[in-house]
Amino acid sequence: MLTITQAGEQSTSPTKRVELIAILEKFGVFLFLLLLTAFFQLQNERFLSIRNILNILSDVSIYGILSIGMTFVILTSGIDLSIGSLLAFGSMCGAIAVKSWSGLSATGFSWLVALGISLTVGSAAGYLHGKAITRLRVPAFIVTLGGMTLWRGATLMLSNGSPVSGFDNSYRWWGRGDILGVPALVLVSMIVASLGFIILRYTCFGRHVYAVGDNPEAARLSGLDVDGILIRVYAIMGGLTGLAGFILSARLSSAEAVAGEGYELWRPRRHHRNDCRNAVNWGFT
Amino acid sequence: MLAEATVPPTNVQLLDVRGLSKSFPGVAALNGVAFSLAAGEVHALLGENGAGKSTLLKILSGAQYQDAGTIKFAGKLLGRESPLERQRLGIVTVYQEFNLMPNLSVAENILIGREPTKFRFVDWKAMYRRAREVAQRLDLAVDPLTPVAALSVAEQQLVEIAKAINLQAKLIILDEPTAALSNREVGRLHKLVHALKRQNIAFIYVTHRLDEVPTICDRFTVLRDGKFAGSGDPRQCATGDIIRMMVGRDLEPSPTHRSVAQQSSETVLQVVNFMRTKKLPSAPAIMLRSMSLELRRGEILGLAGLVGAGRTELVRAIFGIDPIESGQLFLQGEAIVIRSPRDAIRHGIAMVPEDRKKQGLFLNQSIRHNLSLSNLSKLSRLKYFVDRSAENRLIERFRQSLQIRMPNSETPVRTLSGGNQQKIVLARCLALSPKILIVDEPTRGIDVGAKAEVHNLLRQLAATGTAVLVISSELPELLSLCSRIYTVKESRITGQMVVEEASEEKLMTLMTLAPSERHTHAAID
Repeated sequence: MLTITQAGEQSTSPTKRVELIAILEKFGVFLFLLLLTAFFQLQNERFLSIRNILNILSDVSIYGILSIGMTFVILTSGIDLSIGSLLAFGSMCGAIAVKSWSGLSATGFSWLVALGISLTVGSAAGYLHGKAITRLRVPAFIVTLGGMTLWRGATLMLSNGSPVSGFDNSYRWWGRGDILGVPALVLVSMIVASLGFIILRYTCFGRHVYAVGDNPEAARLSGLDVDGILIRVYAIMGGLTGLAGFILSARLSSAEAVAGEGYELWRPRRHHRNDCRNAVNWGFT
Repeated sequence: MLAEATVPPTNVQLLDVRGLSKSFPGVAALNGVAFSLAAGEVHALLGENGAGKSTLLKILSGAQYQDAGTIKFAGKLLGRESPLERQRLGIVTVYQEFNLMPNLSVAENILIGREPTKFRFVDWKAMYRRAREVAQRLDLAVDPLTPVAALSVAEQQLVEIAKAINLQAKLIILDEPTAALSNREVGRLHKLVHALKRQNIAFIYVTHRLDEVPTICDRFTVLRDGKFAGSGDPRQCATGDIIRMMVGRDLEPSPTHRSVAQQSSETVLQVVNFMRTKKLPSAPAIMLRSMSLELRRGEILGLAGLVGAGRTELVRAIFGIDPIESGQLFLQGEAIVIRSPRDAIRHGIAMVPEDRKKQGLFLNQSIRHNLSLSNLSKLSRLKYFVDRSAENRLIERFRQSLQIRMPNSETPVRTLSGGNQQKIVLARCLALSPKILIVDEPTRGIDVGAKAEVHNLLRQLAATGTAVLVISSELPELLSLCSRIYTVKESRITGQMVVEEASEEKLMTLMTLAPSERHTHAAID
């Protein structure tokens, strides 16, 4: 009798253990987040209030937008170290244009000009990174490390190192306004995340990105335009960096030359609720 | 005589496997398999790709565990030991892809994890001495200080075996040990196996080369679809019988409708004086010396040559993978320029590359992603979106026509057998409905059944008017498949003949001898 039950247990328990490991691998991040949330809630009962949650979401939105772009880049086995600097450069270009265009703020469309310029500057810079990586065959790490210094330097030259601030309400709405209580920048990052998801999951381009990342040689032999795909990926990253830069300047009501320092490593600063935000951030990617 | 002979011929039973079953989601990889082995026995394990050999090996080495069944090794019932513990018990596996650290020395590789120490530091002198001893036992004439990366494949294999010997292995599992070896190296390996066998070490010998089974193995066991399909003494068993056990049916030597190939039919592709004298930064340092050929509609054209003769380089140049310095390409009489594989595909040329894992497949991705990739633009809705239902129809069409065995279309390609992986690459090319199909070593490393299926498929394609260009290192394959054959030697086309006039000897002569030598060779004949 005894031996039979033992044999039965032996054959079932390991499979259960394997299942548990698989579940942990899949949902471990969320479990960790849950534990962390519970811990903070016990520390301070206001942690799970709607107000605080919206606060946290606003805080992570900028990183969220950047991490969508970085998802594309990392899927192609690349890296972009320039995003912190490029973010500052994009927002600075937009802000300076808006400030030097007298009478623009009265029209209520200064945000559109700044957004357009940040996006254009960002994607153009990303396109250049992509070109350098594919045409000159320089590794992405080196190209974007160069970009990191280049764009920071350009920002400092452009602004003489001082922040550009004082935007009108239409501009600041993107960082501080809300729709039905949901902060605008949270909405923007959610739209970006859904677009990213749709592109990667349902479009031919998304398939191509995965293929290039998995085996670039096989992708080329299968007739894909590997270089073109990589250039587009870095341009997307750059464009999203520009968008994030615009939103950060709207939130701070100021474009700063030192904005975005260290963002390439997604290391949130200046606040004390770091751990929690990191956790949310990891969840995003 | 065949199926019942499961009792080992002589001495002590070393390994006794009973009722072994293992299933993965969607497939039963092993189903009640029995297998036994005596000490000092060399036992061939045969079967098609996907028959369950790899699963059996993985279970024996402890990389996976069975769902049901028992394994008894050296009189002890095995439980759930880790691969390391299994090694300590004496079961060591030499996989096809070696587990060596290329930048470490031979000695470090042989003694990894069991380095001799002195006052807790590595005792290098003792290490080199031990390594030299083991190497001598194996007749491996290399300095133990050499980095493994500098060795030939055959020598690296010996280092793997040396590792096993040093672990005092009682059972060494060799997974397709001769797949990448030259004939001379194979002979050397056979000798070594014989010598070790006399020291009472047993072998499980997995191979696709049936001709070596009678020379080296005492017994064989055949698996088919995860089940025991028979075993016996290879010296008393005709190769045809073994093949029948493996595939479960007679392999009809498919009708040679190569004569169907319209001899007079139009030329689809004409390659004129392809030249390249500069070395490429990418791997192949092989040139093209004014190479020309002509490919006709509905024919299967063979390209014979030794490895490194320039066969692969020529088709790579045609397909736009590598550049050429001069030369012209005519597609149905019109001059075209192909600068990239993308251009080639646009002109209706498709290619199955030489190395399916490195150049053909996205191993971590699903069958779906792999199969439709080249064709996505035709499978799109609203220009940008993948039309999943059209994609499903495509997958289903090729699953049936190529008999791809797969659990479902979301399975990662990595988990498929070699034959099925090759079919995925072929399917991706065929989905483009090419006018010209280039296949480089289409049957390398796949089993007899899948091989016959690939051959039939190529014949069918030719019959429907596709021009097929085949590269193969196996002359019998070319002779049975092609209607015309070109020979390549040292980056030059050295001959061309219709298959009726060709023979292995003739081809071999053109592939290996310079024109002047050829005459003397003929004279001696």
